[in-house]
Amino acid sequence: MSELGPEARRILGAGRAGLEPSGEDRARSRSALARRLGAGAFVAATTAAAPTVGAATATLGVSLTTKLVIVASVLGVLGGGVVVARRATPPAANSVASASAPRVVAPTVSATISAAVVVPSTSPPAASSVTAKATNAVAPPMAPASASVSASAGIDEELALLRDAQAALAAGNAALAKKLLDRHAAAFPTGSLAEERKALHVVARCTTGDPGARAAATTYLAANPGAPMAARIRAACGLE
Amino acid sequence: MTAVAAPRLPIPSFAEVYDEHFGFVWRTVRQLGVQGATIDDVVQETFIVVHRRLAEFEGRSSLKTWLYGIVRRIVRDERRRLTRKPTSPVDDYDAIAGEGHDPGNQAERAEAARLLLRLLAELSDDRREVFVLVELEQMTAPEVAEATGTNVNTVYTRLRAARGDFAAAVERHRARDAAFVVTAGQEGT
Repeated sequence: MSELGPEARRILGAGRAGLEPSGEDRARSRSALARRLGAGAFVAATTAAAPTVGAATATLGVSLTTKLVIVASVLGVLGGGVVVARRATPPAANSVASASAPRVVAPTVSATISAAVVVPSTSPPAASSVTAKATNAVAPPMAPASASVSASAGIDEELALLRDAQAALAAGNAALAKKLLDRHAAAFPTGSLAEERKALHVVARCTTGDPGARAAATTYLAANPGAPMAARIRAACGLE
Repeated sequence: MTAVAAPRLPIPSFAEVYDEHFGFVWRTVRQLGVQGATIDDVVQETFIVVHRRLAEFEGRSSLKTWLYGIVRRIVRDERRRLTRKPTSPVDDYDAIAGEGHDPGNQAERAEAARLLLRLLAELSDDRREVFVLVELEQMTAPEVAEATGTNVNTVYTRLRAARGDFAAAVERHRARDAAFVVTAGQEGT
């Protein structure tokens, strides 16, 4: 069978990369689908794919669990190795905001959400508000979008931006990574993934040889000694 | 002897399918020639169908193959609709994919994508489909045969022809480029 020449192969490779959906494409599509299908369409994966989640998870509410798993997912990708996640910060309007979040342990580097294990926190949330939230979150398909949809969409957008930034870093394009992280900072200054953004930003700065990067890394590590990305920051910034 | 049925694999959830295959669906829709804002529509329609029919997925084919079957039907329907109601042929790819990224890098990516789509557009629908699935989506010939409802021999025949067509399109592109450079150089003297 005739094979393609190097020029044709180059065009195919570059063109395929150019056809990848951007973070905005993903977020836009997901938001639109969530509006059309209802929140349950995207929440179902978490509940169905996390059989090891303890009873406390059910009472915490699916939207919060989803968020925690997403954070674990990002950390699994960004941090590598066994990860103990920090507490996720729920949106202010979320009725679960007062709940103490469980620790999330992602036992592998994989971003597969089914790998996440939720360890119950010592301070369970007030049952009434959380139960109401859970009821909303597992509404059947085609149900009208609840408040949790917008919160979920926000996290989706956050996640998409950080994933893009991470991909840019992995591809050696730290400048693009920094721009994406700046966009995240502008859009979600106190977002659920703000800490991950800060850590990635330090890595990106060190990668580009930013003169103040090592000092920023030292400051970050002093403030967050147990950060999941600590090892990666040390490696990127030559602090080992 | 009684045949033992293979154990049925668990059906993935909609969210898992979406997360894992969104990129595949998006790229494929574009590679099949859908342009502009219609990309969003077709991708969403695909996942609406997936959401509705996922429980029917029997695992006899790969999920990717099953998904492509849905994409293919929706793209075909969309083409029929556009044939009845012509719209601007301008590909507003930049308007969709160019938001908020590094302008230089994004421009390069967009240009590379535009060139690829222009060359793919020179292939017939049947050949382009096989070429896209094998060369760009790394599907095997049996998978492509199943996804397109043809047999493996037909896939190989179309692939061979498509590679020839694509190589010829690349040559034409190179010749056009060279002609442009010569012309521009002459104008400058």
